[in-house]
Amino acid sequence: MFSFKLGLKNLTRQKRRNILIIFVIAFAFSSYLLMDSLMNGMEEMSFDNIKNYDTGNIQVAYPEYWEDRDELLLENLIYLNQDMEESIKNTDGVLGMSPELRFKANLNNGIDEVAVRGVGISIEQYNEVFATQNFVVEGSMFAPGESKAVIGTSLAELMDLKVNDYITLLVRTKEDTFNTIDIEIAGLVRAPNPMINNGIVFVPLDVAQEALNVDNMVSLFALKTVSGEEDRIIKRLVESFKNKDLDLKAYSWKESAASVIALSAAKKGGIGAVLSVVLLIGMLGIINNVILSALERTEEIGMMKALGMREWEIVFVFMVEATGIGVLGGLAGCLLGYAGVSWLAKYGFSIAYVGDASDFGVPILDRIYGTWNYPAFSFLFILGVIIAVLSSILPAYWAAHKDPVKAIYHR
Amino acid sequence: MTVERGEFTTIFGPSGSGKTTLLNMIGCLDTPSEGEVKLNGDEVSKLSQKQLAMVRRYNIGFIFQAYNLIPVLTAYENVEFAIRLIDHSKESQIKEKVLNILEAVGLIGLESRRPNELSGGEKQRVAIARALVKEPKLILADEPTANLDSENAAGVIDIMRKMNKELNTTFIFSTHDPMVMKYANRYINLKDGMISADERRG
Ligand SMILES: Nc1ncnc2c1ncn2[C@@H]1O[C@H](COP(=O)(O)OP(=O)(O)OP(=O)(O)O)[C@@H](O)[C@H]1O
Ligand SMILES: [Mg+2]
Repeated sequence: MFSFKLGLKNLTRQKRRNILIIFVIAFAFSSYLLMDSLMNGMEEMSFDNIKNYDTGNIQVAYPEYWEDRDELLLENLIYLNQDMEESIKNTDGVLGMSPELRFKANLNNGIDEVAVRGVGISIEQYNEVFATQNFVVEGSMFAPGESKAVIGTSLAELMDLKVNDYITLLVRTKEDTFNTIDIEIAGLVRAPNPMINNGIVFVPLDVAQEALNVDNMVSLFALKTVSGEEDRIIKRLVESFKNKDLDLKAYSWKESAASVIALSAAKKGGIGAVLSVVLLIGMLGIINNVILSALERTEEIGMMKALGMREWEIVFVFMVEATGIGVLGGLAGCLLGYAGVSWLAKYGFSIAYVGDASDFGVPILDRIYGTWNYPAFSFLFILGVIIAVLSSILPAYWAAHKDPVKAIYHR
Repeated sequence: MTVERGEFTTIFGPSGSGKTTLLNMIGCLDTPSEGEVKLNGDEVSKLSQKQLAMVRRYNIGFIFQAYNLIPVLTAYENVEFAIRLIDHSKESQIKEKVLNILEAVGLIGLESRRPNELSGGEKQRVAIARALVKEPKLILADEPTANLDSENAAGVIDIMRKMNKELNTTFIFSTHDPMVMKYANRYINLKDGMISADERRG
């Protein structure tokens, strides 16, 4: 107990050096916590943005369509029928379903033309699944029965379009003949998912079906479900499709998040590397500190040996001191991290600094918000203390192993 | 040479004559390259590191020329440090022992001062208290008065003498100050590592 007290009191020696190392540890620890928070925030937001504005939780389509879904072909479409829709809708855990007809189109504003993705939606059902309507910044979503379109702000800017302007969508029908959709813009959206803003034109489902000559057919259903339950709900859906002899399949949003998932795997590696560096900094700091202290206290160590202290008892005194530094550095790091993560969670981090994030396949518009990862705090703190204890042992033994005569008389 | 229990022995000799070396060998900190050291009849060179530490812990007190107090501990705590190593009794008993010994060396009232708030003589008295508190059989003091003026040196020697009489503790201390050695009842003179004189006085 007395050794413990002595170890703690020794913390007050060389205050400047100890404060410096505590600060270094705190800085390293908090950097890790901030990075962890941002990375997780980015991942979470990306997933949310994919789910909430693009895929829903689950998509239902024919496997043949799903495989080539990026091609936006008008093949392997689903013929709508009430019974099928009912059965999907009534599946346990499904909160909403939105039939979508996706198609390739060229948008023409009378001067220029740009390739876009057309999406025919049934507006009421769409609103049950997606939150896009909350991000209409000008005009409004089209009303049911209204033959109007909604486009993203970036696209509008690019094509110099405003609400109430008319656009022409050049499309190819199922039979590969050209057709056009002439339609008025009802509203402009600026959703958190940049993909929505850059190149999508929403039109009423019936308008799209007519123009493409696909009578009452859709590409897929996007479903909103209880979140986290996707896998179980998919099982239920597949089961019911089997019973009804339907070839439909259900796909989790995760399958559309491959780029983000790949990124988050890289993220784990990155965080691991940062963690190693952070712990290495702590380790070197502690080792350095113990060695310097031991050199300064040579005569004291000699005196302790003369008093009959065993080596491990002297080591213990140094370990208590090192642990104290680890605890204080860890605490300060967690506090700094707490402040930083609070800030990041509230104000976010503008990714304008790193360029357009959608270039990296990250569907985030402008700010990444930090998330709270409380286990990271306790994990880091405990790990930090353990590292402090362990890295003090060797240099402390080196110190305690000194020949007492040499230590006392500085020979 | 043989030192008897309760003797107050001075080792006198010029610098480099081997005073420190002799004390360190007696104190189990150093080992002789020739000859042997016996403590209580036990041959020291036959003991393990651990046993040597235990001999020092229970039987020997050291007093150094440079005091070697721990700067972050108060006078009281520096003394407490030594007794805690061998005595695991209750706080109140420890306190009584520590205060008693501090009183004996005349430091009552200064017990909560840190070493840097004490004079050289006071520091050396803390060191004496630290060596005495565990009531060892033998106290080894290597030039305990070398850093002190003659008045303080006399004070420190007085206290050592008093403790020697009261507790019958064996003292061996080295000095090269002729003024100090008159207190001793045994006088050993070293020259070039050899004993050149050994006298007992009444
Ligand atoms: N009996 C001995 N045989 C061989 N070498 C010795 C002997 N005694 C002392 N020495 C050597 O002499 C040197 C000086 O010895 P020591 O430091 O003990 O002297 P000292 O009397 O304490 O001197 P100071 O007054 O300067 O403290 C040391 O290197 C020590 O190894
Ligand atoms: Mg000497």
